[in-house]
Amino acid sequence: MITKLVTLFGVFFLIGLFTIGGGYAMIPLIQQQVVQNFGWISMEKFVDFLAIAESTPGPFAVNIATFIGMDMDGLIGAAVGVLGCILPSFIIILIIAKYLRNFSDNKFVKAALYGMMPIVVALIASAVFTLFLSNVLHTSVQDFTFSNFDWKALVAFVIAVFIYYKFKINPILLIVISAGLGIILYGLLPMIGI
Amino acid sequence: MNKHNRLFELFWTYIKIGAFTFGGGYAMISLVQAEIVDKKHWISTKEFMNMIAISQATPGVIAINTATFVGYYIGGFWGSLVATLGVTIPSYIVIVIISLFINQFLELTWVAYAFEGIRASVIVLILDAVFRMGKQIKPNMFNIVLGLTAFLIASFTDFSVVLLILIGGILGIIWQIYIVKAYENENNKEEVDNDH
Repeated sequence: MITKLVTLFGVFFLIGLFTIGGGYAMIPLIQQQVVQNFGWISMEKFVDFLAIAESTPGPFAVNIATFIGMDMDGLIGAAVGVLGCILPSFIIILIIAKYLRNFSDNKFVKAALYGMMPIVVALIASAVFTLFLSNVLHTSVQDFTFSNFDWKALVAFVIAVFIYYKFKINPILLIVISAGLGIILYGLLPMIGI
Repeated sequence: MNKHNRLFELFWTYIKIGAFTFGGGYAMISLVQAEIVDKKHWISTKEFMNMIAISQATPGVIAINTATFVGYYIGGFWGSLVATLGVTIPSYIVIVIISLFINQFLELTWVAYAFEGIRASVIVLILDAVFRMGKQIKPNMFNIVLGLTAFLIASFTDFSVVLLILIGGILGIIWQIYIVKAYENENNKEEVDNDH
């Protein structure tokens, strides 16, 4: 139990430390560490958490850490997850604020970030790819198959893309509309035999 | 105003900011600006902008980075502590409450249908983050090759994403400082030569 909490702390510390350029950069890190390596939550549950974290107030990263920690070990798990996630930020910024005001002007820091940014974006793109496979084809790269293709999930995805970019609505409204879409596709259509 | 009052006010301000921003660190910036810069005049716009720039160019959660930074500026170590805790606590409480009910909630048949649709929108939102962040990256050879390679490795192997990010940092340093600079120096030399 203590070992589990220490691991949880360590994993979220690592995730907090390597979250570069915004909360979405956490997604590939969580996917690899929490979903694949440790199997603490399933891919579906992770995506559900993302949706809820997106539609509740507060920093995305903190929401996700609370969710996963809570799922693993209740209030204490949640506190440990959040602490792990925010401590790297807290420590690094304290050091910068106190000693290194010119940190971000340093040529090595700038150059390292220059190299990290395309990687971070590529990793998030890869997370989209993996999520698409698991959600629409219900498959994975490891044992790929077309036989589980879920056309309704594809329809929901295409409509969501269309609405989001055509009407430029905010993310929460998109989530609400997609919820309605899910109810129509998976709840109402089967009633008329589709 | 005495020190304790100010710390408490900072804490309370950040609780409000944590409780009322949707969509993460970037959405938070305008609220922090309104509360801390425009209303309370604790820091100037210029200082605030500088802090945001550093927060973005530093590893870690941007919302926490800026809270720690602003808090430190206003009240030293304790200031950074109360600001960071303040911005975190509302999230913690809200998510803990939701977590207590979420499993039963997700088991309801119609809610499960709704979440089938919601998953599709989450993928769209993450895809949008890829586009937004991708736009800020110059489409040169270095970035394209690095990005594509990282995409393939991350998608088709179990290679550690943390290591990939570190390798990106090292390649960035090699590229920017040792190759691009050397190339520029070479070019500058030629220009000087041409002048003669």
